Amino acid sequence: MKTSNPNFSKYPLVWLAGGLMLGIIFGKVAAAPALASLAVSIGAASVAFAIRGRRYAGLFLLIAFCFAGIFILGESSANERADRIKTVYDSGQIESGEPVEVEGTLIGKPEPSIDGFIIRLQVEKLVHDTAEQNVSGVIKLFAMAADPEAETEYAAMDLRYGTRIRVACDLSREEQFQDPGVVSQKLVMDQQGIDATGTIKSPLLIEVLGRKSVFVPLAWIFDQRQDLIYSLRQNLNPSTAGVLIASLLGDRHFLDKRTADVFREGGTFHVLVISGLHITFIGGMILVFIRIFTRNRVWPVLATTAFLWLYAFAVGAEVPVVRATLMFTVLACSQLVHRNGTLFNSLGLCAILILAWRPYDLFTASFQLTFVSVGAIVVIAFPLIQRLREIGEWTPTRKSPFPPNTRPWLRQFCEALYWREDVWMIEQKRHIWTTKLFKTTKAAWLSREGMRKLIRYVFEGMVVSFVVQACLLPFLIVYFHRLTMASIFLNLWVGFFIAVESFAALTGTLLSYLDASLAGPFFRVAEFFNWMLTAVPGFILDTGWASFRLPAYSGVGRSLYFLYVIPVAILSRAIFIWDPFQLIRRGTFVHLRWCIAFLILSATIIVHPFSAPSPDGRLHIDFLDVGQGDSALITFPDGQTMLVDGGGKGRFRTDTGDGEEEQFEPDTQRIGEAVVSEFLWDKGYSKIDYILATHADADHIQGLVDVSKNFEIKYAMFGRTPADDANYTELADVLAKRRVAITTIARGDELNVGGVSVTVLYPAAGVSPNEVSNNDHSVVLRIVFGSKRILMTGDIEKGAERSLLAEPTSLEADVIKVPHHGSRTSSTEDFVNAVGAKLAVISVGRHSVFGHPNPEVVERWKMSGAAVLITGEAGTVSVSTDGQNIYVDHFRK
Amino acid sequence: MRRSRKGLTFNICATVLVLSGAVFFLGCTIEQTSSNSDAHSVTVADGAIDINLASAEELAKIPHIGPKLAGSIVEFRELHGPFRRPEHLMLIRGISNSRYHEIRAFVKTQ
Repeated sequence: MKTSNPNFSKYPLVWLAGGLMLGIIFGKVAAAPALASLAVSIGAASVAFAIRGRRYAGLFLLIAFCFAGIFILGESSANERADRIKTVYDSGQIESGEPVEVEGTLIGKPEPSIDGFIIRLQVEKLVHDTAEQNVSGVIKLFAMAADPEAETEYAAMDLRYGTRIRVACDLSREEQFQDPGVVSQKLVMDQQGIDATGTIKSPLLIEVLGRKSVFVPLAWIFDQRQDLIYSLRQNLNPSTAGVLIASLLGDRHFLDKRTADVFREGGTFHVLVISGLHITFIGGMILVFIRIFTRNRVWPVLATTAFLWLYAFAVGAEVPVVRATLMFTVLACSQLVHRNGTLFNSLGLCAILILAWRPYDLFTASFQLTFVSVGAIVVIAFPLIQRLREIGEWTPTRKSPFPPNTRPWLRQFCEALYWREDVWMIEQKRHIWTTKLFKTTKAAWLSREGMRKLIRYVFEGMVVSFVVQACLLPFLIVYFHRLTMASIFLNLWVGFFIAVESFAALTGTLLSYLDASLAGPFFRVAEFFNWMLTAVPGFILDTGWASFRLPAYSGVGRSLYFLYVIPVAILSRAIFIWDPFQLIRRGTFVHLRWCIAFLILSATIIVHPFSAPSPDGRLHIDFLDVGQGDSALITFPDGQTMLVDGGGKGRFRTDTGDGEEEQFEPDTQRIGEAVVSEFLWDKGYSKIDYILATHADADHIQGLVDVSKNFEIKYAMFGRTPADDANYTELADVLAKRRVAITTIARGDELNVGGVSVTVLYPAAGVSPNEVSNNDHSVVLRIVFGSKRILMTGDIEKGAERSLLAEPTSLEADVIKVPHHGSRTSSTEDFVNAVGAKLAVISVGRHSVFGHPNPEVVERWKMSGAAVLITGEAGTVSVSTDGQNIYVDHFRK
Repeated sequence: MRRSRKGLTFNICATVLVLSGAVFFLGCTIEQTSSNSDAHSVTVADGAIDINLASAEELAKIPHIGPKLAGSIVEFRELHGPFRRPEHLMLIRGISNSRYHEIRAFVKTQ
């Protein structure tokens, strides 16, 4: 008799993994002494062993794992070597950006990139200001090779896995943009196992010292990977090559932004990151292939696992890849020891192994996404599909003599998908008795039409996709601020086409070694599949309903995400233990209540009615740290918002393909997306009432393009609308697409929002609004609330300052956004004195390539009696006023 | 008398020739000396300047290095110590790979 109620105690490793995770979380929140934790852990484990077989033995084992988690985390922090490069930089021994010489060994082969390549160096020595010290840690260096001479010089060096080099460069380990909600650069580096990054300006700065002996098969695989990258780039167009190099070889430097955005918006970007999906697919294919030739159970698994580990190292051995390979190894090996069907338990074992290796991974998005998605598939999707299959395929047996006890519509649906009349006819011939089964007629019809197999695959794929999406909902919103409805379907589309595209391209590459003419058709087919891969999702996404950007709750609101876990966990358990053949249906009402709770919580997360801060009657201005550039968010006392400039500065490059000039924009995150949008989402906004571009320079206007794509905008305001300016036209196109009206503003225009008066002081209305929009045409705003005045000056220079001084309007202000990032072209003495500000905010990064701010200008503002805050040093500068007093805060304390 | 006139003509011609030769030789020498006079004490036989010893004025005279960059080189040297290799000039902002290739013949480290 089938056990109708399998419970979770059959999965001890899942419980133990849970205990370990709890311990790690506890260790992070409240640092407990590591040795005491170890002692408690050993003690609890000893008690568990002593009372094994009794009721509470499991509980003691759980306690042992919990304290083991605390111990592992403590040890992991304590074991960090004091000579690590990250420690050298974090302790301030060396400032970020200072020139150093480092000596070390190359890990892996240099990874090709646009205009150069990337090397990872296991560093042994560091020289700074003639002082030499022994250090450890891995650094990531970008070697510039934009011209053929540099490429030739690098080729002559023959840098490879195991090469020892000494290199002179500027190393950097610091936060780039210090704003609330923006991902910490140091944290990202730590998660990637990189201590610092740097750029090598020339091959002449590298000295080859020798070569270390290396593991030859791995070196061979590195060579093959590099050859394959060159071959794909040579034979395919940039978009196809970029997709294949990223998805097969783990190098995302050749992805172009347009293609990457289609994947990102479609919620299918995960196929471009080597993860569990790839490892499972590649491993599964190899396993199936080998099993064609042998019935042996052991060596196909061992051979596949060995290949996967080599592959994992060849593609960079990044943590997610290693984790996925480890999971495959555990799952494959669990079959070897006859542990079929305990995927959930194997998942627990994987978690224990990975957390024992890198306990801090528990707090990374990558770990959480991997385990939640695999867990959702194993606990919900697979059992659900299995139950539906059982309902559809039901025939009377001794185990289940009665028909499934489900709603008729569900039974008919399952029968339509899974009932096989032909199999039943054969089965019936074996028995001495006959039975008449009343199955839905649609099953026979679908089967006849030959569509059933396809419909079944699509249905099952969509179930898996939906379940994963539902379980990942809080993670998708907190980490990516994106919900893609279409991804439930697009995952299937992309999954299929990327598989056939990869197959065509790899076949073409293999044939190209024999004869280029044989390979040509395969490459063309790969390009066609790539077009299919991107064109259809692109078309669906263009409709505008398929993908949404959503803000995250912060503060107390974040508890919603934890609450969401409760109904999901209860419903998951209900599906996991669901027995459709149970004669008495239990818990239906209870499940209905949890379903309603699930729907309400999902809606609250997606619609986010409480995410934005409620109006507090004050005027707030946040001057963001966007590096070299300007961006300030004004929150009016009634809660309306205005974004003045959006920062930004893109990197473009022209690449040639088949003799034709084609613009290639690498898939790098722009400031508007990675900084300004992240800040606004963190604040809880999904719409901005007004956006205003002071002028059309990229470091002011470009970020507004991303903001306009990601947020609902009510009004857009410009001083001038230069039709021939690429930065402006890009923004204007996005605004037109989103049907946002553009208003041109000029001196004398006034806006009253929530009791705040916003007056335009400059520029005067031009002859034509389409005139050029340079620094000296920047919009200057005076914001008045109560007795307090704030001046926003864009990038005005001396000429505009003189014009403003010539006007009768008083320039007096309590707070000023200093013109043109504190450049010496602005802030004349007369202007500074006329403003007489108490606070001068300079919007510029820590290392301005233009040398901003000018020390004399800073001194001039200070001499006038103003406190000076620079966004690059202070982070976001937040100014708020109730009309009587001004309150100032900044992100970096 | 006739013999003496012939002898005088010969002597005059010889003197003119010697003087012309002397002037030519001296001219070359003077030209050479004047070209050498532009170089300074840090100039070595191969014509390269030691970037660890040269002053900002001396560095500024290197082709493609103006006074601003020369000042940056001296400032860098004072801040971070002497250059171990001339290639390390590229660690200074403003000296790219291509600019270094333009000046590499004129710089050296001891």
